[in-house]
Amino acid sequence: MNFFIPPERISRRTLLRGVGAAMALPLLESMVPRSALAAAAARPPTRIAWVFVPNGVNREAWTPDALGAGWAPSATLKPLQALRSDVSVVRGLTLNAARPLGDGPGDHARSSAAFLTCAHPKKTDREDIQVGVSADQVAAKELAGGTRFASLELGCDQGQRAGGCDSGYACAYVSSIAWRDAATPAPHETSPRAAFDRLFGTPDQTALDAAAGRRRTASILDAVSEDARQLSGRVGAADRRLLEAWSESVRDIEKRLARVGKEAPGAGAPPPGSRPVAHPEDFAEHQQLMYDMLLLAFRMDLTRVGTLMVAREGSNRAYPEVGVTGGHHSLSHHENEAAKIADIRRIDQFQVRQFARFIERLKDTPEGDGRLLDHCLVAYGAGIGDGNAHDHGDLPILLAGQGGGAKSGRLIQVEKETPLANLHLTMLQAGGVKAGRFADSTGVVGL
Amino acid sequence: MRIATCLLLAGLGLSGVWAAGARAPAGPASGQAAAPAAAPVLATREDFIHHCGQCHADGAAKGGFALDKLAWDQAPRQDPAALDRMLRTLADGRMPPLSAGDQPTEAERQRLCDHLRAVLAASPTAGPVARPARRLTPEELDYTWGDLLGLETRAARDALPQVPPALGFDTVAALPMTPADVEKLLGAAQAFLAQAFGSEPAGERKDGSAFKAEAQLVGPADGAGVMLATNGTLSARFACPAPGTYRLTLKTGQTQAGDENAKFTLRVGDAAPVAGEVTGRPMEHVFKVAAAGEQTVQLAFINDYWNAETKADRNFILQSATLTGPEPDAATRARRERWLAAPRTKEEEEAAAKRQLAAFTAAAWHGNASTEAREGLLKVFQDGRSHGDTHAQALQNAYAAALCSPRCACLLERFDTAGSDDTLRVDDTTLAARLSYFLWAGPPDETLVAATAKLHEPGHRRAEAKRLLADPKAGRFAARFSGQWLQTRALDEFTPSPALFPGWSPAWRQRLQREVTLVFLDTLRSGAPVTALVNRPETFVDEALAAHYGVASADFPLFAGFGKVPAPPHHDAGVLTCAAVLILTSNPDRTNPVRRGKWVMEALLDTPPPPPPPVVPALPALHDAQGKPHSARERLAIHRETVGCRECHARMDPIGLSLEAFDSLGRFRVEADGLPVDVRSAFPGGAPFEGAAGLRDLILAHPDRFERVVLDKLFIYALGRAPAPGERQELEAVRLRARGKQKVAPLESLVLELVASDLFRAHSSVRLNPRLSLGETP
Repeated sequence: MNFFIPPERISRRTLLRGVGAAMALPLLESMVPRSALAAAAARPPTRIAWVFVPNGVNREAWTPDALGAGWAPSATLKPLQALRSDVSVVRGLTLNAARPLGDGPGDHARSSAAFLTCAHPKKTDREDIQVGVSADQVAAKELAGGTRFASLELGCDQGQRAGGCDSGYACAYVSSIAWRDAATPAPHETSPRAAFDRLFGTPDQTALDAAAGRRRTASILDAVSEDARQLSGRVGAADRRLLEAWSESVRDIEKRLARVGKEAPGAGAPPPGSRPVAHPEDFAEHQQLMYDMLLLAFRMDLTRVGTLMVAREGSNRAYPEVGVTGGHHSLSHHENEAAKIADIRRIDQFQVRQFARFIERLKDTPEGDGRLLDHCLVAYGAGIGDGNAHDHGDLPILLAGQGGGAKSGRLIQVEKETPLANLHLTMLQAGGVKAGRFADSTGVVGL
Repeated sequence: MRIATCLLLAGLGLSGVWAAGARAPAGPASGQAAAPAAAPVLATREDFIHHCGQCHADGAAKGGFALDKLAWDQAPRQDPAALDRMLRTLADGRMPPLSAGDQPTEAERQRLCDHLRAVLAASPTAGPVARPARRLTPEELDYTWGDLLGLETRAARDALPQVPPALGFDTVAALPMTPADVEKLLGAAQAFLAQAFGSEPAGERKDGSAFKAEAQLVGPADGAGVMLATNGTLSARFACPAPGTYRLTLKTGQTQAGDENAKFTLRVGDAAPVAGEVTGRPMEHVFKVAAAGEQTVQLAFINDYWNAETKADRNFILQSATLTGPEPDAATRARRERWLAAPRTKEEEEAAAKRQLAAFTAAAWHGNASTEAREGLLKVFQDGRSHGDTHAQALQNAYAAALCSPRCACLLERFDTAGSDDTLRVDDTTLAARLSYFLWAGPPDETLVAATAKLHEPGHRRAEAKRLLADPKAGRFAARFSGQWLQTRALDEFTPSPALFPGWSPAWRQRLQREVTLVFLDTLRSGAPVTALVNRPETFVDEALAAHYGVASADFPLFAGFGKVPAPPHHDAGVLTCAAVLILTSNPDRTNPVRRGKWVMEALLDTPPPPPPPVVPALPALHDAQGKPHSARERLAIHRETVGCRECHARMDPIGLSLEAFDSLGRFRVEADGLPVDVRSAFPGGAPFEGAAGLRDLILAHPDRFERVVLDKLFIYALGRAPAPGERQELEAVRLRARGKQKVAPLESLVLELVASDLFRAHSSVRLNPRLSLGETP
């Protein structure tokens, strides 16, 4: 009676097999929403995504040589060797908003808060946080309605649970890159299973149940949104904001529910056997599963905008997967010790390897006349340049895919101090957002 | 006109006024700001110049602070924050610095502080500012829902993202809802209701022909099902969506021959087979499942009969098998009876639903129920019924809406307009919620609700708080408060390298945190002085933790789980020497004296060091030029020579170095990096101290400072905001009342006196509440 049995634990490999196998079957087309198929016939939509890594990188090992096409991979970028023609390296972008600008220390909090907003966060450790709308949320707002989800926010770390986060900055800054509005971080999903269930519904809903469940949910949401709306008329300005957001968020889901109801039966059903584990202990597996969720969402056109925060900014996790027993953040201040620098390189390369696997699978996934990667533009990078120096200039940035007609596979050197916002604007435009400016952008990055 | 506003609000069925919903309160304070009582002059500007002037007057402005710039007479009005900073640095002994030479006597320091507190208390701009309403944290939601229906749940914690702390506590943050949050909240509420009421037992029916048959002769049965004509087996797998009791109903048949009925055995999973016989009636078999998953159902036909002469043939037929479950347990049945029971007739149905919804919202909405909102829920119920939902299902829909309403999932505060001074105070209903969410992280129980009308009286608040602390639910407060104050929650993400921590498993995270929680709870419940948190001859361990501390578990009177035991040698400084704290202040692979120093300064001294300068000079290498290892002490000493690092490291490093006798896993050691551990320490210009014991004695030497630290943290956690500068005087009075005639205030008294104080009732200062327009009439 279930449309699939929840497996207790599926290894990443099984999942990938599941995804891969399903991809090969033309049958899968029946699972893709009809609207998407229609679009696919003409031209598949462009999907845009951003991947964020914390603590900067070791720049020496990162920076490749040879400008133009066919860049020569550096030590850290080795895992991209076979994908060189699909990935560009962008050098010289700057995140000015993450600089102190008179606010003193707190480069980590500013790095994550500013990465996608390109706005300078207000220095506060109370509830009055303030930064800016992130690029992905600008796209989500503009593209909402076209797909089941306006955007997908993913991450591998929960927010920090205790203590102060960074030099007088509230913890919300270090644990979010996506911001719905200046004061509201969009929480990201950290459990692959929860992300999967959100995309496809929980497995104990049969088709009939799903319809009845939608009807019940709509009725419940209706009452909640009306209640919150009434309440907000009774309270003062500060409380009103909370209640209005409540009511608006509820309405947002109501709209999505209505859309799902109109889709063809079976639309958006996941490949069988692909429901992943809830809490992978292995970090490489966790990252891959989160990438998989993004891949699935893009493949099935459930959303066209995504973010993945590989780890919280300032994360001090160890990477025993690659033999690193020290903490990432502590190591990033490497005191010029060769052993620590080597550890940082190992971590940097580990992250790039996970990204490379994702790109590889986007490339292996057919879509329309080509591959899914042809219709994606995925940026990868950090809000800190070199972790040891805490600088925010010459950020390590990769750009993968040919979405929006990008000519990939080049080493792009932009002028010194070019705002990172230029890259975001480029991606927004590629994704179909009609924007002439984003944050402090001064133009676009020539693709 | 003002009265009209109040009447209007009263007409909406609100006993008080929605926080910030009203305009001006009645009373003399509303027209113009009442002139504050003049503060007593306990100290003069000259007194401050005498002690602070060397660095902060006559053109000197160290740390950006200058008394010259402070317009002394108007300072309280202009810049309460600056005075508050002065007060705090003076009170906790940070200023004047030891290096400045002459220190004020304790009495002199006290006098200066008292003066500042009094000035701030009388300042018109130093009162509390209203904080926005906040959402309940996932943990609080679980406790709220669980207490409501009488069960333990993790539904909200499993679904909703954690709340990032502000000012160190998740009760401070006030993040708005996003669509993803709403979706998760709804999912969590539905999961919780399913857990509380059980899903309607699901049934899965399989036709006999759906079974896998293994026998020489197998064929379809007449009508439906499968027939075994020789001995053999039938097997099929059934899904059991949750642990619990299941009922399997087998419809069997036979072609009868010989002198007995067809017989078979039934086996579910690995359980022992049970015997069955085809009698014409269905066979019912009840079994328990420990975990969700698939179960194999196997039937074996065991008495085949065939007489070649008479052609008498006995065959076994399985028509169908139906599995229903899980069946509700007694508590679930009782809950269904109380909350979901349908009346006998359809006519009574709506009245019954109304009653049920009224009872549910009275408990779930923290006194924020309104007729209008209940009507909305009734509509959900009616909607369900009209679409064919059962009475129970339709009610569950309405309950889900009630749980997702901000009335349940937020703490909305209301204040009384009574009172004539500057401060608005929350009403009794809000007080009940403040009290229960402070000490239980959950809603008021019936006793507290019954006492609500008296809660504005300090004595009743104190008595209720004492009762709440004696309840097992106070353990939630101990875990939540200590986990955030002492940051042991960070261990939720602790994953050591297996090579460094053999025997580690995720259960260690809770084990380590539990020791700290129990130390806190024991200090609270035993009436011990608050300093017992860092000074105690015993601690709490289970067998694994005892082994970790290197003490044979046989030495301890251990009972199930954790036991109170004499502290292991060297681990007698309370939370300072708990493994949890020592681990969370270490790097994954080595100790980090700076981080330990920083933790002590933040958590125990409440004097967080300023963050490091933007470009941190590297620590010197692990080895000197000759390849000889530097000790951590030597490396830090070199680092401290750098200008810009010295100021803070002069305070952090000595603290951290005194704890070097504990390794990165919190175990006592005598050697580190091949060098003997040296735990002698001293602050510049201060007396030397040694080891954790020496550090503890430094804290014990100033119990008033430690009392203030704990009281401040309790305030922030309980009220979700920092004390306003103008509240410092009252907070100091709370501390003194808690101390009473004793040398050090008991932890319990600090909690009780805070609850009893007027601070606990404060909503906001009329003057600073931007949403109240003074002197204006609607």
